[in-house]
This record gives sequence, C-alpha cells and structure tokens, in this order.
Amino acid sequence: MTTAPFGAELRDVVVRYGRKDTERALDGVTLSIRPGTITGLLGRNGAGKTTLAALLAAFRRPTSGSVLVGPAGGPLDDPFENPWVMMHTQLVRESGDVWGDSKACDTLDYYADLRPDWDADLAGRLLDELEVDVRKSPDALSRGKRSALGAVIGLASRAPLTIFDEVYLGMDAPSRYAFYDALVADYTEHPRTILLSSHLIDEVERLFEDVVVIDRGRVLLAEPAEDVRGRGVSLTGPADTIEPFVAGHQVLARQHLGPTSQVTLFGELDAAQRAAATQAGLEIGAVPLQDLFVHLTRKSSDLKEDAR
Amino acid sequence: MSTPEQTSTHAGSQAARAMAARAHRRGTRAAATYLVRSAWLVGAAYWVVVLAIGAVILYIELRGDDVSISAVGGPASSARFFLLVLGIILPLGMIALHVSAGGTRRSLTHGLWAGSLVTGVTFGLATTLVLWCGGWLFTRQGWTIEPERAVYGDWSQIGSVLVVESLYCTVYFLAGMIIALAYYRTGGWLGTLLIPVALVPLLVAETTLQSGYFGSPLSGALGVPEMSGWLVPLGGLAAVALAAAILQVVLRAIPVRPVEFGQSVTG
Repeated sequence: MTTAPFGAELRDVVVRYGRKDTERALDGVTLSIRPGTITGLLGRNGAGKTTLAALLAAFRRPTSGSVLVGPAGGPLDDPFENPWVMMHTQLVRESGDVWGDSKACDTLDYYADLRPDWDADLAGRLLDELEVDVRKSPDALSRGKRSALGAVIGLASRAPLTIFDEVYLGMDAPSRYAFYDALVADYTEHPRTILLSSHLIDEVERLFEDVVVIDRGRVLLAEPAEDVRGRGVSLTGPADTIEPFVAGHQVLARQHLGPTSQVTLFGELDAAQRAAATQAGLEIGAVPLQDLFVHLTRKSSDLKEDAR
Repeated sequence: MSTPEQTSTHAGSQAARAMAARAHRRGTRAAATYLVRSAWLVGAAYWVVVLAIGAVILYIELRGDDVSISAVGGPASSARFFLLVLGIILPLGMIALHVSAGGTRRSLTHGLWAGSLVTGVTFGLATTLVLWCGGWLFTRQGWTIEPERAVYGDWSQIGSVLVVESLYCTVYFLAGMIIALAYYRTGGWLGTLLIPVALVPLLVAETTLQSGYFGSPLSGALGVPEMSGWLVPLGGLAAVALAAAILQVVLRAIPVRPVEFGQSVTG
C-alpha cells in the first residue's frame, strides 16, 4: 500500500534572494502540477526552475505567496517542515545531495533509513545497470556516475512527488536512455508525480504529459504537452507552394533542401488553411517542443537581432 | 492515475500523523547515529594522537627529571576543543542530505541534540578514563601530583570528573554546530557577527564548571564565586540547554543549499 501521487499548487509565489526587489528568482508564479503525471519543467539557465523545485521539496520558503502540496483527492498542505509531505517528496538536484567523500553505500543507507517507500531491490538493479560502484565515494566517481547515483536515489525513493533537477546532465547517452526507460517502467508500475527539469528537451519530451515553461521567474505556459505541441505547425513541400501559408504567421525555422522547404510556424492553422495546405500537396507536421521552447524563451534582444 | 492499492491519506489524517511521528523518529535516529559514528571514527584517531602526545611529553619530562601531571591532563582535557572543530564540520555535511532524504529540520535538530549528548558523554568518559589512568600512574610511581585547577579535587573523583568533562564536551560540540550553521544560514559577514552568540553557552559552562584551561581564570577575572555541589552540574546543564536552544533557533526554517566543503568525515 503506497500513498497516492501528489499534486501541487503555487499561488502568486515570489522568491527574492537579494535585498533588492528586482532580484526575483520567481516573480508571481501561479501554477498547478497535476498529480500522477510526468511534467516537464523547462526554462533557460537562471529561469527559476531550481528555485521552484526547492520550494516544492521544502528546501526553502517563498518570500511571499503560497506553496501547497498533497495527494490526489486530498487537501493540499504547506510542505515546509511538514513531516508527512517531506517524507513523500524527493528532490534530486544536479549537485547531488550525497556525502562526497564517504562510500556511496553510506549515502544510500541514509536514504533507505528515512524513505518509507525505499526500494532496495530497484536501487540495486539500477546501480548494476548504470555501473555505479557503491563501494567508491561519489567524489571518486565520474560526473556521469555521480549523476547516475542521484537518478537511482530519485527512482528508488518511490516518493509520490519526485523532482529531477537536471540530474542526468553528466550521464552519457546510453546511461541517460537507460534511466529514461527505468523511469517510465517504474512510473507505470508505481504511478506517482514526476517533475523533470532538463535542457535536453529533444530527449525527454516524449516522456512529458504536461509542460511548464518558466522564463525569468515567470510562468510562460503550463499546459498538457499535446496542447503545447499544437501551438506550432510545420509545413513541408515545394518552396513556392508554402509561401502563401506563411503569411500572417511567425516563422520559427526555415530549412531548404533543393526545391523542397520546411517551415516551422508559431500558431495554429485553422481548418480551412489545413485543408488548403493538404490540397496543395504540403505535409503538415507537429513542431518539436524544443523549437517552441527556444521561441518562447528568446530574449527580446534576440528577437530584434533576428528582425534585422 | 492512482491505483487501487494506493491510499488517499493526507497530512491531517490520523494515519498520516502516525506515519509522520515514525518518520520523525527515523530521522532523529539516523541523524544522531551518523553524528556519533562520525565523531568516533575521527575521535578514535584523535585519542591515539592525544595518548601519543601525552607519552612523548612525559618521556621528555622524565629525561629532564621534572615530571608534571599536566603532561596527561593537558592533552586529555583538549577533547572539548576537538569537538568544537568537529561540530563545525559535521552538520554542514548533514543538512542537505537529511532534508533531501525527506527528514525535517526538526528531526535533524533532535538528532543533533541526541548525538551531541551521546558524543559528549562518551568523550567525557574517555577523558575521565585517561585522567584516571594518568593519576594512577603518577601515584604508583610516586611522582608529585600538583592540585588541579578544577571544581573536583583530583582525578580520583571519577563521578565528578565524568560529569564535568561530559558537560564540557557536549556544550563545545553544540557551540561548534551553532557557528557552522549560522555561517551556512547567514553568510560570511553576519555569520562572523553571530560567533559571540555561540560563545555565550561556553561562557556559562566555563564559569560554572570552572575547570581546565579557561574555567578558573575566567571565573576569577569575572568575579564569579567558586561553585560547589549541585550548582556545578546545574550550571553545566543550563549551558547545554542554552546551546541546544540556540541551535534550534538557527536551524529552524534554514534554507537548504549545496555545501561544497561540507563533506562526510567517515570516508
């Protein structure tokens, strides 16, 4: 018997690190995390992803606003110093909250002692698969193996709210894919809420059910992944046939291969436009999440440069 | 997406409160165990060095035919300073991992209290044992034993020595933790300004336990009357309670961030 997946609500949350009011890591964030989903938390460096994760895991308090976490179908509570919520929330940070100069198995033992749903078998299997030697200290491990150790902790904790904050950055491609596979398999078997923060959007977007995009401390969008993907469209076909459909849309990307072009547009085509495009022999496709993310989070200076 | 075997327990339910209480106990026990184990892993090496230093000093004094009991008493009574330093190092390596593992700051605080007490008493016991052995050796050899600058008359009063040294070790250990966590919480400048706060329990301990390097001279300088009877352990306990309370205030609501140098000492 395990606890149901957790959801979260943030209302008008502000986090200020410095004394100046302008130094806001989060600036009026209002957001819901649906329980029992894998949510992608996307944002550029310094956008506020880590601060948001730290609030959910009770690593810190917001300067103002409210953060509430709790199980599906139950009341939500402030996670800060709430033993029941904290024991059911796992944040794995890129820095890795491990004892660097002690054997990795000492760190794992500590987590196992405190985590009520710790799965030692799963931890053992994953450590073998990712080839992490627990007799070594994390400081003696490569960055990739150290990241793998964090990933194992996150999965084996089986916390109803599990947050991975750029945890797999140091891992090589085979290890990352092994981790993604393990995550999906364990998530299917033991449903919970997973928040994935990553720069490797192309790799992980297939996992996302919901997407949250943060930029400079503000939430740009928080929607189901399918809706986000529907915010753009790609057209492929003869260059001169495509151009009439481009008018009135913002072009995210344009590629040419001989007489064939592919144009990525921000915004949707209405039914009539779609029908016309199909009739003209154009192929209509979805837009990679990464392209939309890049477009949404571009600084205004970048946009001005593009316009020149 | 919840499955039938999943419960809809929430934080306010009775089952959740029972689970939270168990989690608190687990967190407290894990923190205390780690603290005591780490202190003694390093502490074992410390005692080997202390005994070696004592033996070398004694050997040199014997060659000069001027033997002093301070050859044993000096190194042995420095355990409290060793624990002050260890108190600065250990909790910095614990806080992020403890909270990341789902423990609360409250369970960490209680774990540090319990761990400090056990470490303080066991180090106090080790100090008492070394002092008693030194006293026994000097008596057996017929060497002169100078009177101790302590509330206890001499080292044969094992009970009194144990109480005084245990209280000293516990207070110094807690004071080290206060210094470290105040820096962790407030940063360099404010952390430095807060060092005197950590020294207040030490001042209370030194002026009531009145033993060792600072106790008697400091009490004399401050005009504190000589302590005796129950006032000594009561004063020491007050110092421990004060240090524990300050530690709780420092740890309450402390934001967690990675510590670069705060490592485990068990490696």
